[in-house]
Amino acid sequence: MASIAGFCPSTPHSPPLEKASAAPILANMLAAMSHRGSSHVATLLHPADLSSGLPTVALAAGHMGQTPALYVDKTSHMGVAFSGHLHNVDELKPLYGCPPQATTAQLVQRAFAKEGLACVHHFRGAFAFAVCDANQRLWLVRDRIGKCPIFYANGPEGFAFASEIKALFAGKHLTPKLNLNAINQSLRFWGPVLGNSHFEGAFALLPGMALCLDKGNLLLHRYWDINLSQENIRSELREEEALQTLDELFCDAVSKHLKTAPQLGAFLSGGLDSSLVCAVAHHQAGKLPTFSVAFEQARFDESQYQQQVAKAIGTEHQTLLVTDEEIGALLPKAVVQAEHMFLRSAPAPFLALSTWVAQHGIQSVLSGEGADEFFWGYDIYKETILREFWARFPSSSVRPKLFARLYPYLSLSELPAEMLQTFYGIGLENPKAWDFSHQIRWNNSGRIARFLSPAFLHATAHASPEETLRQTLPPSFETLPPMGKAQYLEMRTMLQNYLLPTQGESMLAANAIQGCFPFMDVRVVEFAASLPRRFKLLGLTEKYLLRRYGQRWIPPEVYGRPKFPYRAPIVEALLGKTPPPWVQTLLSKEAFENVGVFDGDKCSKFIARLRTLQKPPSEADAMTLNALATTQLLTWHFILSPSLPSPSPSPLSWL
Amino acid sequence: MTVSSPFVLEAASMDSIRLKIRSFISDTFFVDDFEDNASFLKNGTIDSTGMMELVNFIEQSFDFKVADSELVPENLDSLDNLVQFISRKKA
Repeated sequence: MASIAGFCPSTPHSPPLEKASAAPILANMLAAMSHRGSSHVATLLHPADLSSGLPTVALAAGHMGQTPALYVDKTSHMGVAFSGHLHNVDELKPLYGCPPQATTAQLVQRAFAKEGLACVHHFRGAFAFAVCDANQRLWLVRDRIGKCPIFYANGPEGFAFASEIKALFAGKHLTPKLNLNAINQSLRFWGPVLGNSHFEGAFALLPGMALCLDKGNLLLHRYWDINLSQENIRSELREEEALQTLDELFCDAVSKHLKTAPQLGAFLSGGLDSSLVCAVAHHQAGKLPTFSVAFEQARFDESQYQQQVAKAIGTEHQTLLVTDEEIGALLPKAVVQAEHMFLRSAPAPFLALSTWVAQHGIQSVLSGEGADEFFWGYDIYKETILREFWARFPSSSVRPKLFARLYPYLSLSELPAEMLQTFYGIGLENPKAWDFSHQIRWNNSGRIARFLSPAFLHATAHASPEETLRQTLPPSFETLPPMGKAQYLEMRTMLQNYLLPTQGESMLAANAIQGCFPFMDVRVVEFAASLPRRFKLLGLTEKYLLRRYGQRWIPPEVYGRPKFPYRAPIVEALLGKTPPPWVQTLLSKEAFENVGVFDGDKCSKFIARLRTLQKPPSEADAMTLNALATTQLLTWHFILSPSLPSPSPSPLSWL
Repeated sequence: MTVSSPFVLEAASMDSIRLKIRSFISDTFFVDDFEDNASFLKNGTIDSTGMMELVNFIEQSFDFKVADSELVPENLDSLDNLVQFISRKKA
C-alpha cells in the first residue's frame, strides 16, 4: 500500500521545476493521502537536454514501513512511483535481473527499461504506477481489474495524477466542482461511467489501460481486456478437469499472496467465496487470523455462518459488532475516503472493520471479492437467463413465475405472478438489446432521479447516462453472447465503478491495508471467462463450479447456502433512535436546497415519511435515502464546507 | 343548474377517484408527471413494494378488499385501469 502523486507543466517553455517550488505542492498532495503511507519521498526528473522543450516531471510517493515506493535509476534517470502489490515478484525479479532485496518500484523500472509497456503482461496483482522513461515520457499504468486506483487531471496548467482525487485538490491542480452528469450516471449504474469521477476534470484511468503523456500529447492504450466471446469458451471442458484447473489456479493465487503480502489476515463473511479463500489460505499457511462484521439486526447479520465456517476451518476468528449508530457516524468518513456517493451503506461497516483489523497489526487482507462477478454469483445473471428464457415464449404464463423464486430476501416475492410479469417484462421484446441484462436494475435505481432538483435536471438533460456508457464500450461488445454482455456490463459498472472504489480498495486504503483478492487474479479471471455457462449457472444454482469446489473445503451448510448479499442498515442508521448529528444539518430542506442536487421539498417529505414508517423500509426507499445522504456529504465535504483543516504535510526526502 | 343525469354523476365520481389516487401517488412516490394510461411498473413510477402500498391505500380509502385474483396489471397498473377497477367494485 502506498500513495503516488506527480505533475508536470504542460507547456514546453515552462521554466524547469525546482525543489523549492515543487516541494510544497508534492508535500500537500501526499499529506492529503497520508492514511495510505506516511513516509514521503520525492524526485524531480529534468530532461537531459534542457533545449528539448520537455518539461520537468515531479514524482512523489508515500509509503508505510521500510520500503520506498519511489525509485530513480541513476544512470538512465528513469523514475518509477508504485502503489499496490505485485504478488508474483518472486518470479519477476529473476526475469528482469533484479536482486532479491530490490523494491517493487525498482523492479518495475528494470522491467520497463527492458520491455516498455509490454512488461505489464507479466505483472500479477493490484497496482497503479507512474513511470517517467528515458525519453521523458510519463506513463500511468493501472492493473487489469481496477483493484488499485489512479486519477489524473489535464488542464492548461499541466498534467497531474494521484492515487486519490483529494490529492489533486490539495496540490491545487483542480478546483473541486461536482460533475453533475457523473452523479446522474451513479443514480442509474451505481457509479459514474468508467473514466469519470464525481468531480469535474478528475478522470480515473481505466483498469487494463495505460496512459502516455508524450510531449504534451495524451495517449491511452488498452493492454488487457477480458475475453467473454463465444470462441473463447471451452464448451468441451469436463467437470473434473475444470475443478482440477480451478484448484491449481486458485491455490496458486492464494499462495502467491501468502508469500508476498505482509501481516496477512482475511475477511470471512460467512458466504461461499470468502469461506473458500479462508479455507485454502488457512490450509496453506497453517494459521490465519480471520475477521468479520456482525450487525444488530438479524436481516443483515451473518455471524452464525461466520462462526460455523471459522470453527470448521480452524481459523483464529474475531467478530466486530457494528451498531446502527456507528454506521451513521462513519458514513461521512467513508464518503470522503471513497470520493464517491453510495446507494448502500455497506462501505461504512467495511471502514469500521478495516480500522479494527489495522489495530490488530494486520497490513494485508484476503477477501472473496470478485467471485460473484467472474463465476456468476449475482442475481443479475439469473435474472438475465430467466428473462432470456421467457423472451423466447413471451406469452408463456409459466415462465415468468420463476421470478418469484429469484429474490427471496427482498419483498418482491410478495408480488403476484402477473405483476412480476409486468415488472420483469420490460424490454422483453428485444432480448438482443445491448443493455437487456441491466434494464431492470438500472430502471430501479434510476427511480432516485425523481428527487433531483429542476435545475439539476435541466443541467444534465442533454447527456443520457445510457448513451454515455454505451460509447465507452469496445466494438467487440456487440459481438458477445447475451451472458457475455451481462458480465461485461456488470464488470464495467458494478465491480469497477461501485464495489472496488467504495468497499473493495478504498476503505482498506483508509488504514493503509492492502487488499488481496485471489478471485481477481488474472489467471483465475481468464479461466472463469473460458468456462461454459453450465459451470457458472446450472439452472438457478449460481456459481456452480465454486460450490462443487467448496465441497472439498467447507461445511455443506455453507457451500450449499444461497447467495446472501452483504448489506448494512441504512434507515435505522440515519433516522433511528440515535441519529448522527450531521443528519440534522445535511438532510434538512434547506441543506438540500443549498447543495442544489436534489429537490428540498420532495426530499424533506420523503425523509419525514421514512421517520414515521411502522415497518422495515423497502430496499428502494433505503437506497434512495443513502444516495441522498451520501451526495449531500460528498458535496458538503469537498465543495461547500467552509474551512476544513487540511492535513499538515510531513517533510519530503528527496531522491 | 342541477345535475340529474346518472351518467354525469358517474363521471364526476370517477374524476374524484382519479384525483384522489393521483395525489396519493404523487405524495407517496414523489412523481408528478405521469400519464393516466401509463403503466406504473413499466415506467418505474411505482416499484413492486409500492404496488402493495397502493393496494393498501385503495382498500382503506374505498372500503373494499382486493382479492388475490384481482391483483393483476389489468386492474392496477395504470391510473385508468385503477379508476375503472374501483368504479366496477363500487358499482
